[in-house]
Amino acid sequence: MKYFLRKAGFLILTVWIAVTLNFILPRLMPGNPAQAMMAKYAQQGPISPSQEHALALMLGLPTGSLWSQYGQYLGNLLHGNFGISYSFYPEPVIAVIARALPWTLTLIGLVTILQFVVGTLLGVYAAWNRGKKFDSTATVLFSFTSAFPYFWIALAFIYLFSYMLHWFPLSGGFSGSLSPAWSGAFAGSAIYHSVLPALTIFITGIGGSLLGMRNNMINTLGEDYILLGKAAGLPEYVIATRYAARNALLPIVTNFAMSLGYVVGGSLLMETVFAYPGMGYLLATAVSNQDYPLLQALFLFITVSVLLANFVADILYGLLDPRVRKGGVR
Amino acid sequence: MLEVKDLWVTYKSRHGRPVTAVRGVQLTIPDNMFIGLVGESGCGKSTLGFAIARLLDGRRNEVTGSVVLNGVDLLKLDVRELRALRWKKLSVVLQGGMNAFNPVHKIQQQFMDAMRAHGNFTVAEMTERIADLLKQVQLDREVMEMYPHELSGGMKQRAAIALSLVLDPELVILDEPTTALDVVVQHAIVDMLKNLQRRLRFSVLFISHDLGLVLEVAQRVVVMYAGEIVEERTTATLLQKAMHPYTQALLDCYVDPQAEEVHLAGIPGTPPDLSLPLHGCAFAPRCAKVFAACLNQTPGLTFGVDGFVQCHLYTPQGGTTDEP
Repeated sequence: MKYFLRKAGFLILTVWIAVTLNFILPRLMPGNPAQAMMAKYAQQGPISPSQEHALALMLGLPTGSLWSQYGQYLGNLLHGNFGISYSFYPEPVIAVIARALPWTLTLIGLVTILQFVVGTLLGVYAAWNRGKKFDSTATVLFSFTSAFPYFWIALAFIYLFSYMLHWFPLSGGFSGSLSPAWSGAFAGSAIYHSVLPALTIFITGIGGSLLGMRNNMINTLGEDYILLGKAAGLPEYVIATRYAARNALLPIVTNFAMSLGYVVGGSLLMETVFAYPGMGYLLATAVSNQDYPLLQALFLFITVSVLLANFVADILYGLLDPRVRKGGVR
Repeated sequence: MLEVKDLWVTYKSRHGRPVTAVRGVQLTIPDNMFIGLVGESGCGKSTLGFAIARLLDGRRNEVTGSVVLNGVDLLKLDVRELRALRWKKLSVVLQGGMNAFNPVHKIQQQFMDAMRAHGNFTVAEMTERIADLLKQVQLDREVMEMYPHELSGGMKQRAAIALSLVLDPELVILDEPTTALDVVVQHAIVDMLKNLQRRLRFSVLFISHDLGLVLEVAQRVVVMYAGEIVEERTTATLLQKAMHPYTQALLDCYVDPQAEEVHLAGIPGTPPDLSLPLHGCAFAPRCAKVFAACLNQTPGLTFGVDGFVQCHLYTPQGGTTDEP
């Protein structure tokens, strides 16, 4: 409990720092969006102060002292008010994000979890039967697949399965003739569109989990408690699971929880290659359109979710490893 | 009773020559006997212990000979038969014991794992048994509920000894059980072990590089050199008169704390390369009493009233008529 509270306190502190940095950084940059736009217009002719004021009002530029701006900013955050997107004007940023987030969360989230679970289980199996057929095949095969550049395999898959064989659509998250709704037709279309993106992420990602778990587990198998378990005549599955895999899993769980944090940021490469309507695609759009409010909100979302994932990793680790729980006491 | 006959262990190596770490060992461990096995690092003493317990990785070595425990040859058992016999008849305590416990489980969990693997016990029975054993190794009952990292090195080793006794085995093999501990704790644990052995009447094979410690606790001492047993006798006669020059040299490494002038003698040279076949006596190149026969003829065993020695000094070639 003490461990949990300490970690929760740490989480609150880091989130506050992230939020504050997100406030300070744009203000440290010289100029503001209104001035930048003004400079563009000034090339075409002189601009009156009233025009400048109108532009500032339209973009919602802050007024008042830094402290009152900070207070306003925090208040806005609490209300989910991140301003108006420039590139999707006049939609509020929060609506734009709300549209992209479910795509990323379901597809990349599910694939990340699946890839971790399957990879880890195969890793346990390979390590337990190390040197045998499955292990030697899997080790080579998955070193190979995890070394593929993602964009290359994605393009190859699109070429083969979409362009040549017409098995799957070329791009997008759902069929253009449908609009997002809770219907069977839409769900079917979304799943159909997600097969290739999911498959490519899965293939390039699973090698890491498998090899990581296998190598960790092989190290663990050299520990004395494994030998003692054998000497005590424990059933093999007890040694393989509760003695070996359980301990080998510890460092991997941290990696996994961290990677869940990055899910929110989306997969920039995948979403670009497949024109998938998720967070990564949104981020790319925001960058190329200099959409500051959207960018700022996206960064905040990604930062906070990475921090949250860190927190979850800490808690998980505490639950799984008794040595960590008492870390502060000794 | 355990009888080891003509045991050979060879570590196979993908690169380089195979290493024969145990070379034709004969060893008898009677019931209720505390045997100490000594030798310097790399002499094959741990390999011998592990081979007896069948804990060597079969893919990386070859074991021949026989290890007969109460009429059953352990080397001939299949995995299932072996698992049924483990811990009930023969248990082990590992070096230092630092990592002998699974770090994510409470101490009692591992006792229970071992008990469940070999019988049907209720939780109450198991708890009772564990508490009793912990008491016997002078640990508090609370240790049950603790995690390995909460115990000191000495406590862990006591717990490991308790764990080895949980199913009343006939033989316990301890591989350097106190090496990682400081001298005071070491003696406390060894004394406790000796008392336990007398009270519960199991046999012990105590593997150590520390002859002094072994002489304190063991009833019989087995001296190993270069994969062979070179001398095996009761502790009392060994202390009186060591026969093998190697044993004598080992004893000379110890200093009488009462002596006014301290003369420390080491043993010059290094042990032979176990990946090569040995000609003559393995100890000959380092032996102070070496003569012609030692270099080209392997000495046989010379048996005496309470043991044997493998040295030409006591064979017809040696010309001595001393009874070992």
